[in-house]
Amino acid sequence: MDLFQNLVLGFSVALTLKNIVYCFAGTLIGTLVGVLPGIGAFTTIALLLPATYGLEPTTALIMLAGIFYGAQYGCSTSSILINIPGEASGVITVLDGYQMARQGKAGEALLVSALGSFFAGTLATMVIAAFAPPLANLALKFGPSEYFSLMVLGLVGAIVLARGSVVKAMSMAIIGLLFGLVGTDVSTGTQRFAFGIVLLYDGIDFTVIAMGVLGIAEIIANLEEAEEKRQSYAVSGKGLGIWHLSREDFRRAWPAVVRGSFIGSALGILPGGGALISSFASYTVEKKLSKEPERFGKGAIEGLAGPESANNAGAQTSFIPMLTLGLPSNVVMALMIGALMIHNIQPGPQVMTNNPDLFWGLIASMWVGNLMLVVLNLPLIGIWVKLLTVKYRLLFPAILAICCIGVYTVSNQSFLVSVMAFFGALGYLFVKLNFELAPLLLGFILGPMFEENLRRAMTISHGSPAVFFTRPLSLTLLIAAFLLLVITMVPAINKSREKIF
Amino acid sequence: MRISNKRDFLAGLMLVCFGVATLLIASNYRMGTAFRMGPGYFPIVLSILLIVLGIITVGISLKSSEELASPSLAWRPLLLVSAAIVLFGLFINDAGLAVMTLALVIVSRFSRSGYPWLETVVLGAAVSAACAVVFYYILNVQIPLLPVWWR
Repeated sequence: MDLFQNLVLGFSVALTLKNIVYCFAGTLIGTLVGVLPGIGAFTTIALLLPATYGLEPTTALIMLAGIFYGAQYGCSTSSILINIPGEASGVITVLDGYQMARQGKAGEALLVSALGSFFAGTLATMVIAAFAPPLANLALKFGPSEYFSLMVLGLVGAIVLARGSVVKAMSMAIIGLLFGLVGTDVSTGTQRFAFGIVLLYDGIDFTVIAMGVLGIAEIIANLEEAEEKRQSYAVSGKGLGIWHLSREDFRRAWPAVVRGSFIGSALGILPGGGALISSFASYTVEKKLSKEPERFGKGAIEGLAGPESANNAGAQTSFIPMLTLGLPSNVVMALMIGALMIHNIQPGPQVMTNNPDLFWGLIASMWVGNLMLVVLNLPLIGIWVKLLTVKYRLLFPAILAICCIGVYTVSNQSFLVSVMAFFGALGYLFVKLNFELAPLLLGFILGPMFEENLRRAMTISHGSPAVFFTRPLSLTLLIAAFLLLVITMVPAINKSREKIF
Repeated sequence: MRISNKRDFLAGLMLVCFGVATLLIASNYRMGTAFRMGPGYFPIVLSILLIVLGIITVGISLKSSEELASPSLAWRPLLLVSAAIVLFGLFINDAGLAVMTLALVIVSRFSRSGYPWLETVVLGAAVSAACAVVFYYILNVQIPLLPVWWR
C-alpha cells in the first residue's frame, strides 16, 4: 500500500501545470538534441543547469531528466532514418533499424521503437518505485567500507562492460581516478597534480573533461572520416506515412520488447551500466533466442524492438543508484547530483525521506514524460527528418561553439576552455589507441569519493584492510565485483564478449 | 624483433609513461601509513598499478600475432580544432561571445580543405548570432557579448 500512496504523491506533484510544462520542455529539447548527432543529453544538461537555478528543485530535476530520456527517443529517430546514432546508445538501433528503413518500413521501425520505449519506460518507472525504497534503506546502513566496495563494483562493472581489452579498460579507470585527484586534497590541504596553477586547486570540473573526451574528441574523429561517407547516408522519407504494424510484426516484436525492458531495467541499476550496455545485451539475447538469427542485421524487427526498449529502461533505472546511494553511474547522473547540490539537497538515501515530493514527483514525471513522447513525437517526426538533412560540415562548428560556451558558463573560467581542448586531444589519442572512454569518466567521477571512503574505512579499522572483508555487506559487494571480473577473464566468455562488441 | 600489434604496443608504452610521470609527481607528496593515509598514498598506489597494467599491455602486444598498425593521427583536424578552442578560451573575456564564436567557426572550418569561403563566413555569422540570442539573451548566461572596446 505504501507504494501506491507514494505513487499518488508522485503524480500529484508531477501533474501540476508547471511541472507538466517543464517536463514537456525537457522531453522536447531532449528529443531535439537526441536527433542531432554530435550534441547529446550531457552537453545540453550541462548548458541548461545554470538556467535552472531559479526553479524549484523538483521542477528543475523533472526537466533535466526529461532531456535525458527524451534524448534516447530522439536518438532512435536518427539511427533509423539516417544510419547515424544521435547518442552512443543508438549504435545498436542502427543495425536493424536502418535496414528496416531501407526496406521502406521506416514508419514501422519508428512506431515499434516508440511503443517499445514507452512500455520500457512504464516498466522502469515501476521498477524504480519498487526497488528504490528498500535500496535506500539498505544504503542507510552503509559505512565508508561499504561505499568503497560499492565503488569497486561500479568500476569493475564499467571495465567489464567496456569494449575490447579488460586490461586497457582497467587502465582507463585508473587514469580517470588519477585525474579525479587533481586539486586540493580534502583531508590534508595538499595541492596535488595542480602544477601551481591556482585555477586547478578546486579540481577539474567534470563537465570540462566529459565535453573534451566525448564531444571534442568525437568531432576530431568525425572530421577524419571522408566527407562522402557521411553524406551517402541518404534520408529515406519513404514509408513514413504508415502508422500501423502488421500482425506478424507485432507478434515478433512484443516478446522482444518485454525481454528488452527487463534486461534494461536490471542492467541500468548496476553502477557503470546504463543505456548503451542494455541495448548491447538485449540485442545479443534476441539473436540467441531467435530461430532465424541470420535475419539480424537485415532488418529484423526483434533486433530493433528489444534494444530500443532496453536502452530506454536502462537510461531510466540508472537513476536508482543516484537517487538512493548518491552515486552517479554515468556522466549525466553526475550532472543530476550537481543539480541537487545547487539546491542544497545532499544526494543519498536520505533524499527519499527528507524530500519525498521531489523523489516521487521525479519518478512519476518520468512516466508522464514517456507518455508525452509517444503522443507528441510521432506527429513531429517530419520536423526531425528535416533537421537530419543538415550537413555535418555545417553542424560541427556549431557543436564546437556550444561546447566552448558550455564549459565557460559552467565554470566562468576562460582557462578551462583550453583545458577542454587538452582533453579533446587526449580523448582522440585514446580513441585512436582503442581505449574505451566510459571507464575513464566513471573513474574520474568516483575518484575523490573513492579515496575519501578508502581513507575513512582504513582509519576506522586502524589501518587493517580486513575491514572490507569482515563486514558482510562490503564483502558481498567485493565478491560480486570479483566474480564479475573472473567471469570475463574466462576465455570462452571473453571470446563471445569480443564477438558481441 | 618485429612487433605485429603496434597499436597495443604503443598503448602500453603510453600507459607506462603516464604511470611513471604521475609516480614521479606523487612521490613528492607525503605517503603516510595505511592507518593515516597521506596525500601521496592513493596516487602512488594507482601509478604503480598503471605501470603494471601498461607492462601487461605491452607484453600481450608482443605475444599477439594480430597485425595492427600504429594509428595515424589526423593532424589537421586535431591541431585546428584544438587551436580554435584555445583561441576561444584565451580571448573570450576581451573579445566577447560574438567575435569569438565567429573566429571559432572560421578556424575550425580549416580542419578540412575545400569548404567554400562564403559558406564559412555565412555559417560563422549565423552561429554567432544564434549563440548570442540563445545564450546571452534567452538563457542569460554570464558571458561578455561584445569586445571590451565596444562596451
